[in-house]
Amino acid sequence: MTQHLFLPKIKLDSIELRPEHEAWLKRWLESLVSAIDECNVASSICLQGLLTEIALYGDPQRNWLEVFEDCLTDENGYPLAYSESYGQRLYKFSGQWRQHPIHAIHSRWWAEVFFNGQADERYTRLTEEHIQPNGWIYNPNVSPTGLRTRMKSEYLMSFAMGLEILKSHDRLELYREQFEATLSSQSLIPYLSAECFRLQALEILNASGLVPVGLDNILPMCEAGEGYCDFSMAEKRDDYMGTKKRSARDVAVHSPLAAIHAQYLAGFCHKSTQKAVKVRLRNFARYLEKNPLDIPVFKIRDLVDIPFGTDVSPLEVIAASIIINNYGS
Amino acid sequence: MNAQLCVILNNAMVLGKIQIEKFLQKTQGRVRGELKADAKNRYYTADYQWKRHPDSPEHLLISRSDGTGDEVEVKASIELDESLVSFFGLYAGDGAKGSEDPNQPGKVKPPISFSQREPNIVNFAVAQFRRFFPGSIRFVFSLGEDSAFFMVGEGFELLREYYGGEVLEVPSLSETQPNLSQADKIYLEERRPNQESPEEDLAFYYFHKPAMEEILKALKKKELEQAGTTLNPQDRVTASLRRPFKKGARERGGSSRSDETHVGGVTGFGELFLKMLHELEDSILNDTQVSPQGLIRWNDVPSRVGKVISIKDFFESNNYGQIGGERPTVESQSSTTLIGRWRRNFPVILHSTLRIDPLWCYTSGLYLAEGSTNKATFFSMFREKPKGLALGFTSSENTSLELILRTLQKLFRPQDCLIAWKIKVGSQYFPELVVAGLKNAVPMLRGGKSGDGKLRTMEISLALKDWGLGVAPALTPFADKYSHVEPTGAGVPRVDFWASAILCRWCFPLIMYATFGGIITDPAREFIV
Repeated sequence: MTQHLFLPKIKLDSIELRPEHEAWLKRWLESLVSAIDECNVASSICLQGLLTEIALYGDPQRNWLEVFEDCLTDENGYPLAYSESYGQRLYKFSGQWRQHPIHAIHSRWWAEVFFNGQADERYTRLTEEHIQPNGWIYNPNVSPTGLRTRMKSEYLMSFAMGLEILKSHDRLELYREQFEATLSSQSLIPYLSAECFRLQALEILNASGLVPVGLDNILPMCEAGEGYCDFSMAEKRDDYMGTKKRSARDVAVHSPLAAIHAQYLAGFCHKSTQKAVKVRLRNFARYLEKNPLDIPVFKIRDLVDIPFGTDVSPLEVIAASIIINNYGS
Repeated sequence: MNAQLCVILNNAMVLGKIQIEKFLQKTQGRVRGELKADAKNRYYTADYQWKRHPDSPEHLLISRSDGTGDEVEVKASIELDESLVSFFGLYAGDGAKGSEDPNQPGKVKPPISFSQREPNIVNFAVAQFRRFFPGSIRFVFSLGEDSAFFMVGEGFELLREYYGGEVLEVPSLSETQPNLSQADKIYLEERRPNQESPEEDLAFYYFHKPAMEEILKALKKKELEQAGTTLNPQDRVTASLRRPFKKGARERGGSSRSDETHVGGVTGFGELFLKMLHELEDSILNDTQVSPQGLIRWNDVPSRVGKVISIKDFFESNNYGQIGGERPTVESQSSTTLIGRWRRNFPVILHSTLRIDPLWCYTSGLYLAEGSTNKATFFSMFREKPKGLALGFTSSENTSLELILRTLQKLFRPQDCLIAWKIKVGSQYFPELVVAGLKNAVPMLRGGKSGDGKLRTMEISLALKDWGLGVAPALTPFADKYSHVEPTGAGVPRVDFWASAILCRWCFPLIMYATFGGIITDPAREFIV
């Protein structure tokens, strides 16, 4: 298995990385060495490390299962999101590092499937334990907030991950009807990642016919910079007030990862939309060829010299090379 | 506290002055300034003309050069005592900074207005405004509320009382409001999860609007009266109602109250007032005797002016040095520090003296306006044992955070002034948090039942840490005390820090003393609780 839900339909071992991207990813991997040695890691870092090595070398260079086993497994053998040492990167987070969210279970499951061809059944059992009465899959012990205040991309991501795990041990059919009902009750979401996870979940269920109506409208809304952003700045709305948010001073920024999600979503859209996405991605690829690491970060209003969040990351860099591979000159 | 509040007691100390006439002469009446707030950089400009008051040569009559606005009477030079400096701090927190001119992006037009509900603070602000503007100013006290407040519960009972026992059935929207405005049409198009029928809610709004306004006005009048705020004949009380769920109520009966005190008769003076505030803040921040444009002149550099008080004496004998009838004990004292303890509390190390300098006064007002402590507690604590004391401060600007931290360090050891800090992010920036998560291969997992607890995804919190330090370099010495990102209902991302609640009993009395000490002699009896 060399495909991951973060980068849908992409075979990680057949990407031709741009030299700039290759150098960046190697530097990033090197920066992890002592942290891994000290077990100062998160499951997300291990997952990205594994994906990066597959993209760089075709195969992992490190036995990531050992890292998961030594640093990210609790006394009951359950996968942890953070090592105890990583938990200390935030002040007074020490009581909260011990958590088993779905994405951490999935990372461990994915790594085991990659290395061993199959994963332990306990991940399936654990996932089943987290199927909620409302049909979604998440761990309320980690995030106890109700569905209305959960982020849609969060519960759709966890859902798609949960489905993938359940399918691996043939447990999906037991819940199929409930899952299909849950997915099709969720109205269209103007966020590329959220819809991307929904559609992957539908594909896992072989239920692509339940694709929501109006998907074609989302893609043009999320055009930003040279490519796509996960969301439309102009369409930010308050769920309670129903009103548009004040975002006049904020600027949406392009993201190669969002572009990969746009490419995937376009596959479910009308031909005209597919064509428009293709044209935009061609332009984006040309831009990335010239500016391979121009993966900007958000800024808040007029605080233009203070980055808000992350700019370049392993997933973004890999995604940038994919865009160039698929659409570049 | 009552109308006598504007009488300044003899123990007030003059710390400096606002040299209005000198400033206007130097700048030839040109007022220019930058406004940095809510992560926005904006500016204000105004040109003024002035003349000596024909009947009172100490006073100036100032008006806009373009002939618009009011002719405003102020003293040519205004003495700055503790309470006035504190008032500027209060205004920095709760005062109106202006709305942007749609024709000139980035340019603000600042009115003179104050958003605060706490009646003692409103009373104080009114007295300071009257003192500042001795001419004919008037006040408009406005109470804003979401009309959803009146749909059930307390608001509905008020409505029932108003109608004499029975609330009339609301006719259809077409009968209640046959001609819909553009705002009505936009309202009807908006979708809210809790709203069953926008049409019926809009009909409710129009049908009961006169009654709801009367109820709110009566409520505000009563509160002002109880607080002892004297209304002059030209002062008014108004109500501002919003369509249901438009202002912030998330459910029927929910409140989203806001209180404004607008100052009338000073139209066009907002830019000069804002300039005074900014010059005052700048000179305190940089500890300079004279502000950049010379509008403020302290008697010496700010850190060297103001009464020096003995902490031991203050808490042993000053009326402000007791809380709920209790006073702390000083367990040991050296020339520079002392160890004091309140009953049932840990000992705290403090500096043995404190200068009530412009920094302390200004941040006292700022903290009263924007600190995370419940406002009512400041006024009730002298009479009754306070509950839930907390010390924290939130801002999207470094200046305010730096001033507050510096102030706390005047009284406590630096390591005691901050337990931890976090970044609060309003819902309009949640998509950016989600993207930060995706880039790092994680979802955004919210904490707490309503999603406004500590963010459970460490990667996102860590990705924002440098943003927090970039916005608030004052927190760099406390970089290792960064705790988490906290999603909140609304607002621009901002930095929030908190200190041990054990410090409250030591610094709150001194904050109150700096602000009200020259006005209120006995806080246990004179504040309205």
